[in-house]
Amino acid sequence: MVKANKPGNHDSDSGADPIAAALKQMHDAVANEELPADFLKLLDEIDMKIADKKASH
Amino acid sequence: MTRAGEAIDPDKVFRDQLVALLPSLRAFSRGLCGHREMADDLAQDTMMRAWAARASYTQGTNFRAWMFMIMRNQFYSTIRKNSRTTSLDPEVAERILVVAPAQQNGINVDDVAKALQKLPAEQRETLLLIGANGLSYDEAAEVMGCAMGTVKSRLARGRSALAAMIDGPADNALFDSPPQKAKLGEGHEVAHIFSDILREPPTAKSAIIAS
Repeated sequence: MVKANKPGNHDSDSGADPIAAALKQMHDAVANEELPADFLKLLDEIDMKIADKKASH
Repeated sequence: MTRAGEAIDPDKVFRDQLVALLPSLRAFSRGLCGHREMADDLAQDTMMRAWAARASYTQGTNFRAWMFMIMRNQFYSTIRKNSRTTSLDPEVAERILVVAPAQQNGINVDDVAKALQKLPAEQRETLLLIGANGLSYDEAAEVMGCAMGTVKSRLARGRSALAAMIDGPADNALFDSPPQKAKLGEGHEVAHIFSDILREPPTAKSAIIAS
C-alpha cells in the first residue's frame, strides 16, 4: 500500500512518494501551459464590465 | 497597490483572485475530465458562474475552496445531465492529459494519468484536490461537502487502487480491462471517460458575464 500523503505539503511529499510526485507533475504540466485565447477573451469581457461599472459611477 | 483614499473595487479584487487561480482550475478540470477541450470548457463555465455569483463570496474566506466547489458541482451536474454512459474510447484515452512521458521514481506519469481516469470519480477528485493541488483534508472536505473522515477514506482507497493499477502484473493491465463505470453518489453511474460531457447546449457565457 502506498504511504499516506500529508496534504498541503507538496514538495516534501512529492520527493518521498512517486504517486504524489506524478500527480503534482500532471498538475504542473497543465498549470504551466499558456492560457488559451478563450480564457483571455472572457477576462477581457470581465475587465470591460468592471470598467463600465466604474465609468457609470 | 491602491493610492490613499482610493476605494478598493471588490470586482477587481475578485477578478485578480480568479486570474491567479486559473492555472490550478485548469489543472483540476483536466484531471476531472481527462480531456483538454472538455476540461477548458468546464474551467470557463466555472469562471463565468463564479463571476455571476461573486456577490455570494465573502472576501477573506477560502477563495480556492469556493472556486473548486463551483467547478466540482458543475462537473457532476453536467455528468448527471449527460447520464448516458460511454465506453473507454482508445482514441479518447490517447488524448488524456497530454503530459510528456516522464518517470517519477520508476512511475510513468502518463500511466498515472490514465489510471486516474479509471478510478471512481470521488476517489479521483480526492487525489486531484489533495495530491495534485495540495489542498488540506479540511479544504477538500469543504469542496466535496463531506466529512474529513470520508476524505481520508477516499484518498486511501484511491491511492491504493492507483498503485494497484500501476504496479499490476501485466504491463498493459491498464488498457486490457474492459471499460469500467464509476459510481457517482446517489446511485448515478457514469463512465470514466465522458466523451459527451459538457456537450450540453453551449452556455451563453456572455449572458452570464453580463450579470
